[in-house]
This record gives sequence, C-alpha cells and structure tokens, in this order.
Amino acid sequence: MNALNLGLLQSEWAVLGLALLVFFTDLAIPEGRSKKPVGVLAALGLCVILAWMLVSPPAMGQAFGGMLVSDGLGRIFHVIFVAAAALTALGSLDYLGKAGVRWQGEYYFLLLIVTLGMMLIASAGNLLSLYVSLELNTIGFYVLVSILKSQSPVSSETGLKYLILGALSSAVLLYGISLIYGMSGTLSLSELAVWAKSAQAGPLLMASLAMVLAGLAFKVSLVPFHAWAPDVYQGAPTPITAFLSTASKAAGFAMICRVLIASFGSFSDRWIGLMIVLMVLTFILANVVALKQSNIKRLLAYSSIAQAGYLAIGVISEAGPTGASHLGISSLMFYLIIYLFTNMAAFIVAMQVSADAGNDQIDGFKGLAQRSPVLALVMMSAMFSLSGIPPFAGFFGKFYLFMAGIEAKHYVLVLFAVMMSVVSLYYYLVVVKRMYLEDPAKPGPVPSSFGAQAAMFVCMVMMLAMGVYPAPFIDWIRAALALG
Amino acid sequence: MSSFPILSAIWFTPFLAGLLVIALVPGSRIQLIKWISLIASGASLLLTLMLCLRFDYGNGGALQFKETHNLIPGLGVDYRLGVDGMSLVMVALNALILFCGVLASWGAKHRAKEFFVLLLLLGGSVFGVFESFDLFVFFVFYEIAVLPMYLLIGIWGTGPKEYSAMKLTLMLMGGSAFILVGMLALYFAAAPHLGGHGTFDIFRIASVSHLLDPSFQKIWYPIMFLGFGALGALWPLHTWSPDGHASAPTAVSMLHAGVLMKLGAYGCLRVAIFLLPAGAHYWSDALAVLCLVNVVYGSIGAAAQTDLKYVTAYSSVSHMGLVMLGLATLGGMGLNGAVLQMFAHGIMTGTFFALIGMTYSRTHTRIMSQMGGLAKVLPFLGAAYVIAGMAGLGLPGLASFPAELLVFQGAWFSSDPFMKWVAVISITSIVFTAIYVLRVIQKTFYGPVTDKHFEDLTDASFVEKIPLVILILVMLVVGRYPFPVLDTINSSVKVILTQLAGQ
Repeated sequence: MNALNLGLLQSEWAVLGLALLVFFTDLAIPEGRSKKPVGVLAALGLCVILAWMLVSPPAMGQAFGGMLVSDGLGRIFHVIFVAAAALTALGSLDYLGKAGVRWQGEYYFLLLIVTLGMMLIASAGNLLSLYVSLELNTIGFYVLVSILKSQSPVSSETGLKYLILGALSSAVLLYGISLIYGMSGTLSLSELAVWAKSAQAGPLLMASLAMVLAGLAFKVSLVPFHAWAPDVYQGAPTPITAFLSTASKAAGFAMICRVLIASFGSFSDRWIGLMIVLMVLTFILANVVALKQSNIKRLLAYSSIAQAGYLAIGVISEAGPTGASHLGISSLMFYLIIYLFTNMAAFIVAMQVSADAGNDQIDGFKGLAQRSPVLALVMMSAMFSLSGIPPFAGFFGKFYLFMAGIEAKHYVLVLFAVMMSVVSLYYYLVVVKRMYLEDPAKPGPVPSSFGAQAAMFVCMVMMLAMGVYPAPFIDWIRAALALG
Repeated sequence: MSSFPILSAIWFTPFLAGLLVIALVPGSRIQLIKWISLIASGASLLLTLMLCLRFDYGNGGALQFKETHNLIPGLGVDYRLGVDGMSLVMVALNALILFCGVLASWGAKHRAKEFFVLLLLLGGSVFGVFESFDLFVFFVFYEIAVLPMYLLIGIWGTGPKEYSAMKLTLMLMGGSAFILVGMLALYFAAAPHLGGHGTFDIFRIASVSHLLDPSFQKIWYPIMFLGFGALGALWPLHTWSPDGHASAPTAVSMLHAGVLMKLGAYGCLRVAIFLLPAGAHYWSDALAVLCLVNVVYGSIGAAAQTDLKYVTAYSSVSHMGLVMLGLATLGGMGLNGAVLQMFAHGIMTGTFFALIGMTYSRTHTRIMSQMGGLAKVLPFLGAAYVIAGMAGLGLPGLASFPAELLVFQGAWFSSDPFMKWVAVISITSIVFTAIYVLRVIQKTFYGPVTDKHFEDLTDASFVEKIPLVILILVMLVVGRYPFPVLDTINSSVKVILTQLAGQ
C-alpha cells in the first residue's frame, strides 16, 4: 500500500520526460531562430508515446501510497489526452508562426505540462492529488490562453477572465473537499467510497457534494457554470481552444468518474437530480444561444457546452440503478473519443480558414467547397458528426449515449436531448451552408500546412471508422475497463 | 451464384460510384460523371430486375436473399439485409426512379460532380432502407437518405431554396428524433422477452411484440408513427413537403416525392404497425383523422396553386394521405392498397416532376397563367402529362386506380363504423383532384399558344423521352395487370395482418 510503484506511471513519466526534452531543446535554439523544431519534437514525441501506450500491456495498481492509481479508466483517459495533445501540436506547427507567437518553445513545454496535469487528474486516487493535478493543469492553461497577448488585447482579457473564474471554481471545489474531509476523516477516494455507503445524507454532506458538483460542472462547462467558455474559446489561440474543448473537458469527466461515480455513487439518487437540472439548462441555453453566433470559435464554444450535456447522459446512466450494464461509462468514453477527433477536425479547419480570412467570422467559410473541397468536406463531416448524423462517428456516439439513457429510463430527458440536437443541426448547417451553398468571396484555395493536413487526415479517418464500424472501439473500451 | 450478396450490391453500387467519382474524376469531366452515374444506377436497376426474376413469389412473406453479419455483437446490432414481397416492390420502385432521375438530370452543368455524387448517395441509401431488417441499420440508412437533400435543394434548387432546404432537413430530422427514441425504448422493452439479450432484428422483436405491455405500446406507437409520418408528409407535419418539392431540382423532386416520402409510410408499416400492434389498434381512429385531413386538404391545396410544382407537391400530400389512410385502416384491403399506392404514386409523381422540369427548362416559367397551348408545340410532353394526370385522377387502367380503390374499400368495409365516415369524406377529394388535374392540363397544354416565344420550342429529346416512356409503360402495365404486384405485396401484408390479429 505504501510502495511508491514508480513503474506504474510509465506514461506520465514519458510525457514529463518529453516536456523536459522540449524545454531544453528550446533553450538550445538561440533566440531569433525558428522554433519549429521544438514543435516537431513535441508532436513526434507525443505520437510515439501514444503508439507505445496503445501497444504496451496495462499495468494495474497504486502508486505513491494510493495517491495515484493506474487502472483501465485512467488508461483510456491518458490515451485521449495524449492523442489530443499530439493533434494540437500538429495543428500548432504553422499556426504559431502565422499568429506571431513569441514564446513558441514555452508554448510546447506548457502544452506538455498541461497534458501531464490532466493525466495525473485521471490517475488521482486521492482528493488531494486530484486537486493538485487540477491546479497543475489549469495554471498551465491560464498562460496558454493568453499567449497571444502581444497580438491582441482580447487574449490578455481572456487569460484574466479564465484565471478569476477558474480560481473561484477551484475554491468552491476545495471548500467542498474540505467539508467532506471534515466529515469522513479521509481524502482517499477508495476509502471515501466505503465511508459513503454508511454515511447519512445530512445537509452538510449535500452542501459539500453540491459544491464539488459545481466545481466539476465548471470544468466541463455545464450551464450555469459555462460563462467562461465562449470568451476563453474566442480569445485563446485556436489550437489551445481545440485542446481546451476536447482534452480539458475529458479531464473534467475524468474527475466526475473518479469522485461522483466511483466515490459518491451511493448518493447518486441525490446528485443525479441536480445533474439533470444542469443538463436541461445546458441543452436549452447552449443550443439556443449558438443559433445566433457569427464567430466560428464562439459557435464551437456553445456547441461544446451543449456536448457536455450529452456526455452527462452517460454519467447519470452509469450512476443510476441500471449501472450494472456499464453502458453509461462505455458510451461516455466512446463519445469522449469521437468528440476529440470531431472537434479537433472542426477547429483545425477553422484555423486554416481564419488564417486565410484574417478573422474568425463564419463568413470566412463562404464558398469553401469550391475553393478547397477537401477542407470543406472535413468541416462538413465534423459538423454532421457533431450533430449526430450517420455515417459519421457522432451518430453512433450519441446513439450509444441515448441507449444508456433509455436503459436508465430517462425517456423524457433523452427525447428532449434528441430534439435539442435537431435544434443544434440548424447552426451546424449554417456552416455547411456557407461552405456549400454560397459562392466564394475571394478566389484561390485556402492554404493549409502539412501538420494540419496530417491531423485532419487522422481525424477524418477516425470519424468515419468509428461511425461505420464502431465494434472494435467499443471492445477496446470495454476490455480496458474490464467489462464483459 | 446463390451466395452472391445481391442486396448489398444493389445499395452499394451507387455508393461506390459516388465515392469513385469523388476520388478520381475531376469536376470538369461532366460527361464522364454522367455516364458513371447512369451506369451505376443502371447496374442497380439490372440487379433489381435479376432480384425480381429470382424471387420466390410463392413464399413472398418470408425474407429472401438474406445476408447477416455481426456489426456490434454486444448491442445486438447486425447488418441484416433481406427482401420480402413488400420491400421487393419498393426496391424496384427506387431502382426505376433513380435510373430515370439520372436521365432526367442529363442537362446538369452547374457543379455537376457534387450533384451526381449526392444523387447517387441518396438513391443508394434508399435501397438500404428498403433492404434492412435490423432497426439500427434501417435507421442509419434512413438518416443518410435525408441528409443529401439539404445540399441538393440548397445548391441546385430554385426559389426560396435555402429556406426550403433548412425547413425540410430540420423537420425530417425532428421526425427521426422520435424514431430514434422509440426504437431504443422498443429495444429495452423487448430484451427481457428475448432472454435478456437485446436485439434490433425486426423479425425477432416482432416475434415477442404480443408480449409487450399494451400501455407501453399505446405510449410509443404514436411517437413512432408520427416520427415516420413526418417523412410521409402526414398532416400537420407535412409543411416541409410543398416548399421542399417546389424548390428542389427535377431529379431530386422525383426521388424525393417518388421514393423518399415512401420511406416514411414504409417505416410506419414495417416498424410502427408491425412491432406495436396493440398500439396500432388503439390509435387507428385518431390517426385516420389526420390522414383524412391530408387527403382532403392536400387536394384542395393543390387546386388553389398557380405554380405547377406546387400543384404536384400538394397533390403528393393528398396522395400520401391515401397511403397513410390505408395504413390506418389496419385491414387487408387498406394495407395492400396503401403499399400499391406507394408504388403507383412513386411512378406517377416521378413522371410529373420529370415533365415539369422538362417543361420549365423550355418555358422558364412554372406559373400556369403564363403558359398555354403547349401541347401544340410540345406534343410528346403534352401527351405524357395527360397520361400522368389521368393516373393522378385515378383513372381505371392506370396504376393508381386499383390502389385508390383498395384504400377506399378498405376504409368502407372496415369493421370499425367510424372508418365509414372517413371513407365517405375522403372520397370527396376525388372531385378536387379532378379539378386541379384538368385545370393544369387545360391551362398549360390546351388552348391557343399564349406566348410567341413558345412557338419555337422543341419537343422532348431522345434522352428525355427514355425516362418518360419507361415510367408511363410501368404505369400502364401495372394499371392493366395489377394482380402480380398486388399478390407480391399481399404475401407480406398477410404476415403483418397475422401480427395485428395476434397482438
């Protein structure tokens, strides 16, 4: 129990090692020279780590005396984070130069540190290590979202906004954690699970659970804790927005899995109700507000808020009385993976188009189908996948989540969710309309870099493969979670 | 040869052609793209013909040419294809309309590559719906079929095309939202009766549907029926249809009114009625009222229009109402009539839209008051229009007559006295139908030539004549000899009737 078991944390070590390597490579390249090799190193390194994680046999156990655990759930999250970081690094290669970011070396270093923070979140076996990892992750993000500060004043504003709201939510979470500690006398998640089985659901416990839920809802941007998302998404450099909307959201769900489902599953009948209220608010607000957006990053921000609502269906199904089938957790994991590739694809296309148009307006997509058919095809696939239309992965992802929801007998909620996804189709189609129905505003193809093309290719393949033949991916998830 | 996956080949050929065109053919080679599309749709038509020849009509109630592969074993999703009598007829309809639709678009120039790719994807996925006997696969094809419509109408349409395209897509997707939830509810309700293992296999769910709680069926049947009804243009969910059809380019109107709307009615029958028989009995009167509104309101609406496409679009609402009414009677005659009407209306409305497209490309107007005497300059198109119009009226000898007769009889001879009233009122639609059909023919094709420019118009070209001749021949043959088709349909209707009786 008290053993360090450092060997269990191989993937975390690998990312830390890569981060240090990137840091020193950056130091070795003199100021004024191109920092692109640093980015290439980070991207390639992440790809290698990802490949190695996928083939190496899983190691199960506890490290640092139970502060960190290595299990199947954490492993899937690690794969998601590293894949997201790799795609982000690929997408950033040319973007940083075009955007004129001065601290390119630091950018990749921070990207890796943030990834490490997320991985530690997913491995946390204790509320304390969970909180510390969360801070490691968010503090890195505060810098990353405002890294464009010398280019645009919005970027500094974004960083500040994120810092203030993020600190507030962390404080609420921490306060909830301290109350829980006061009642139970332990911070270990596994001991809390045992304690929660016999604990009384008194007002204090409910209040502390509500605070924890609020802190986590901030992280995954469920309404009404979503207010930071549109501004931060808009102001941050686009690759970071992509990373924030996919990996960071997944990290939020990792915390929900660890804390709410695993430790406080026995109180699920209490917090599921609260969660459903947040979900309904999310579906309504995010989808309705998204209808009126003219900025692609804000549109995708509201879309990603709405997606958090869909993902939460997996959470409440897993925690509910039908959790024994584990459709909830499998569908949650499946959707996180497809959402990663789908949203990445959308943001990477948006990156190229915005660079060409000089702004982030949806009008920049005008006539893209005639200018760059491939970019338009990828974007259209991403839009259809996000709205859940076959044969793209988003369809099966949503179908799977809804399946879990119906099994848990949330008929009305699921029907409402499906209807709201029809509403969401409107704003996704607006992008498609710009690309396919309207004529180009300027001639010539939109230039796209090799890194972005590679990332788009991967995303496109995954969007189709996971949509047309999802069985192997489901098997992989269920095998990793040791479910039949 | 028996192991050749003919059903997969039928739906996949258009898909494959579409993908090949995307990948290999540059957009400037329009002629090549057209020929690839024609060959692909022709190959599907030939395969369908082969299917019709090899089909065992003595055993039409059972699934034939079955193909089964595990798709997602843990969830009971299988790639499960097959045809029975009813779906065979619908597959044949789609093959005909798709082939004729490609021919009717022979003049396409603007962004032709994307147009034909989407048209082929649309046609291919409709085959998929009629061939699938797994709810999940069925639903996937169903959604893929709706999707290309947005671009097809939005890019190549006329009039308020962006509005129409958006309205159509959102309304149909709204309908499929209900289907999706209903399908999942059905899956979990049937699972305990199947030994705890859920399945999406339509026939296996049907085998236990009499065990499903009647109150469960009463809740979910209207949800499913209305969900599919949206695509079948069931009142009041029909409003996408006139706008959508009027805005769509010719071939798309043909496919959409000719086949895609039938997916809705087919889904009502194959999924809602077949799998929730107790719910069907409970709701039949209420739904019959909606269908009645369809029939009468659609025909009155058509009589009030001035644009040829709107006339045909409203007449589709009316004729699809007859299909839905036949379904709502839940009797042998009504169901047979409904399925035959799907076929007859598909052929007829396909002809109509093809004709309107050809006329429009000459006169550049679809407003009736601006046309007149066209039969003098366009004798072939005029004659074709008259024949199709007579089919629309339900003239004996043409395909719609036996279909409409059966639907009306089905309602009249129903054991439910309420249905008699429905029958009486719905028959009044024949009068309005006569008014609008004759008015269109008289105003546009007869009388003096109103516009000098029209005198220089040329009649249908050879390529244009092919689809018209094919469709009119089918209309005549099925009208003269409806029984082979009816027997084929009846073989699977009998299975559904057994299901309804055994609730």
